[in-house]
Amino acid sequence: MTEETAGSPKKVGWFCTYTPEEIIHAAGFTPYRVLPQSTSGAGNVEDALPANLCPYPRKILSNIRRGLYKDLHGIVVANSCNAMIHLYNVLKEESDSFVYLLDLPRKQDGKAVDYFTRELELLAGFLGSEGETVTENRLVQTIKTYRHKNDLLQIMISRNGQTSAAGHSPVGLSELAIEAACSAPETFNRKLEGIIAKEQNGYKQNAEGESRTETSCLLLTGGLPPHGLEEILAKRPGFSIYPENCSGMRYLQKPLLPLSPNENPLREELFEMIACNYLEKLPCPRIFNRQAREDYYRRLLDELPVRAVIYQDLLFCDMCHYDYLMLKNLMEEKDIPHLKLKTELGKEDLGQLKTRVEAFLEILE
Amino acid sequence: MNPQKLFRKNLKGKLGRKLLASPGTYQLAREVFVKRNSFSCEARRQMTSMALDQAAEAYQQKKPVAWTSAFFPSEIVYFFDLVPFAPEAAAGTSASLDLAPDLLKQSDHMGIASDSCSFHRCAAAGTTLEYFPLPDFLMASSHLCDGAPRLFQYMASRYNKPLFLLDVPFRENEDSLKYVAEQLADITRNLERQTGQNLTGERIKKVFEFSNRARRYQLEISRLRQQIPSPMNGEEGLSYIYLTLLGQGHPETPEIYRTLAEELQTIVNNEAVQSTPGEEEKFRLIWLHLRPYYSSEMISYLEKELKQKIVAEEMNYVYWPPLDPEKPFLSLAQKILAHPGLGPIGRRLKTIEKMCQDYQAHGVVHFSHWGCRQSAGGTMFMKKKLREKGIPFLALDGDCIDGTSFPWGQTLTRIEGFQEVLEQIYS
Repeated sequence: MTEETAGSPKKVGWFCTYTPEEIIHAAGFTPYRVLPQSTSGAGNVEDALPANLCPYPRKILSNIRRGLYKDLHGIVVANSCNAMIHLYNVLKEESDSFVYLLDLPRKQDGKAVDYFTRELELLAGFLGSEGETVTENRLVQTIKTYRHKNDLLQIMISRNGQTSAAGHSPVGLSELAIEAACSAPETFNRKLEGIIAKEQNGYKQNAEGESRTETSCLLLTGGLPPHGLEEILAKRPGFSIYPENCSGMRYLQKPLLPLSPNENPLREELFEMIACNYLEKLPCPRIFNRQAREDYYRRLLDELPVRAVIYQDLLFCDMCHYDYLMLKNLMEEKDIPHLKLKTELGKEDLGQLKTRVEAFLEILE
Repeated sequence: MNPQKLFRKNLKGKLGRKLLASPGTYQLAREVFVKRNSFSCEARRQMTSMALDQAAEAYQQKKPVAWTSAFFPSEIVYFFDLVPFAPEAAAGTSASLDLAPDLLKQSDHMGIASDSCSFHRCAAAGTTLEYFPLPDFLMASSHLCDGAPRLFQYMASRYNKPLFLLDVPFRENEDSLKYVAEQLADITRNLERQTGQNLTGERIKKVFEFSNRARRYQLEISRLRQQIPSPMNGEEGLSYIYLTLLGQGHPETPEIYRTLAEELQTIVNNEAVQSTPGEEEKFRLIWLHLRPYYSSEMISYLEKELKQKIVAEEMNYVYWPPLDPEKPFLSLAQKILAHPGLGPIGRRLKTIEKMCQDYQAHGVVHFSHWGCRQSAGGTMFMKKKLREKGIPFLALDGDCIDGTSFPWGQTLTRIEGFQEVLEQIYS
């Protein structure tokens, strides 16, 4: 997997949004989120991962075996679920680059933060042995870079509706999240700074003449969205898409790391800060906090102009299955139309997906 | 008509639900079936009696009932003299009573995904149809299963009862021991508040003594089963998983294992005199994961027809150190974190290899329960790694609960094919 571009930092792949990019970055690597690519199927993995396992790790393995991520210097797999552990087993066996398994608590309390802090120290130690030593100074610099990235992302998110209203090309939130997770933060920050500065005038002009257009919103939630879904949805005007998933808002809306430039925190404090920050982010169905998840869904349904919900119930994913049961009750309570999709994330589902989604959208119209 | 057949026939529908939810049914079953019927051995009779008593007690609702997921440490339940009830074990029973098809249909109506584990689908449906005794507490652990904690969250919200979730990391080090031990201490403190009981050192000592004595007899049983020929088959061995799930820390458990050890010792003594080794066990197998609960046909064919005897089951393997009453939570955390199935597959593979050596097994069979991500998910990898070590491995695809689509013909062919492989290797 190692074919690095001369001069640029080596990329390290990660999967789960609870993986702290800051630590990978502080070790001198560029964190790169490994997502299923648009290639179809997972046909070349039957010897390693059975067909009745989540399609995400199956597709990732398939893509890796096809040589899609040749430029990765290593991979950090988080202990998100049984399926990811099985992916780790196979990658560890087959990869000639490093593969590290990060333990990830399912709770969010102080004890979980303490445990995760120790885990992050182990991760930093390991990554330091593969790249640069993760010093306090490097961590502080990295945290500042990521704070800036977060600030810029919040501006982009808040302007997403205005950009559409001003007649510019809308920046899809999912597209933004994926680019943010797959780019070097310094390059990405410069790009966002450019976009924001360039559009500043457009916003000012627009703000005088018209207020933000409040369109109906389609809440896209559940597991990773299948390939092509957002493209299908984008073709139907009248809805903005709110991607409540880990390749959308759950990645984009991380709490800000509480670091001020004057502070001089200790190494352990820095790790604790990162651990706390990640465990406190918008709850994922994996976290043992059903109430927080339900409150979060309620808030979204109350605060957003949600016209309908599309739930991506990833095949063979228990987190998604039970999360859907909870959301289904809420949607019925609020009389919100919804569509449950079950896909394998690839092109093979596209035809059926298009038919179902278009039929659903027609009903909404 | 045979009373057992008549009983089974009347289990479906409202009357069946009433029957199953009545403590009297279990008391009657104990009188009729346990006392009068013959069992393969005395230990099995004792275990059935214990299970029926626990079921009757749970439905009586005189004491608080704790629903527990598989692998949640039952010692915690016995610290407070709660009555344990395992919805996943109840799902297994529902399959053996032919109730599972209806429960699975019900789970579909409820919107439970059909690709979820059928133990959990049945348990969820059993909850809705009110087959189960009402819980006072629900307790689930994240090891080894992703689905169980979610199922328990779902069920706890339905009953609006306290739920205790145990988050078990995959790593086994000082930090993870501390993390698990602190959670166990929290759960215990919470139970003290909820039940109004003070957990004394004396009580901990008593429960741990039961657990440790059971462990000692389990090790003795393992030693006896390592004999050639083995004194017990897998059909029998797999039934004792009930004690693994619900019996650890219960006073009757060590007695049942003691009886079993004595019975096996008698068989070993007799066989040493009467039998020629290899006569009834052509090949010795290690069995991984569980078994189909709706039929014994497959295991019976394997063991009785083909003489491939299951000499050890992964689920009965003693992997944990004795519990220390001076450090109760740390000790339980050690037990939990020692599970070979936690985390990366290396520990599980090492355990299987050790079992193969200890039991002089010729091969390994994995029953790949369709909805199990943890066990079945690693089948391909295990197959590759065990074959590299020269250990023949057979994966049988199926479902422990849902017998409707069980590929019996294909399974037969695969079992017979495995027999040929074993014959070629060991002839």
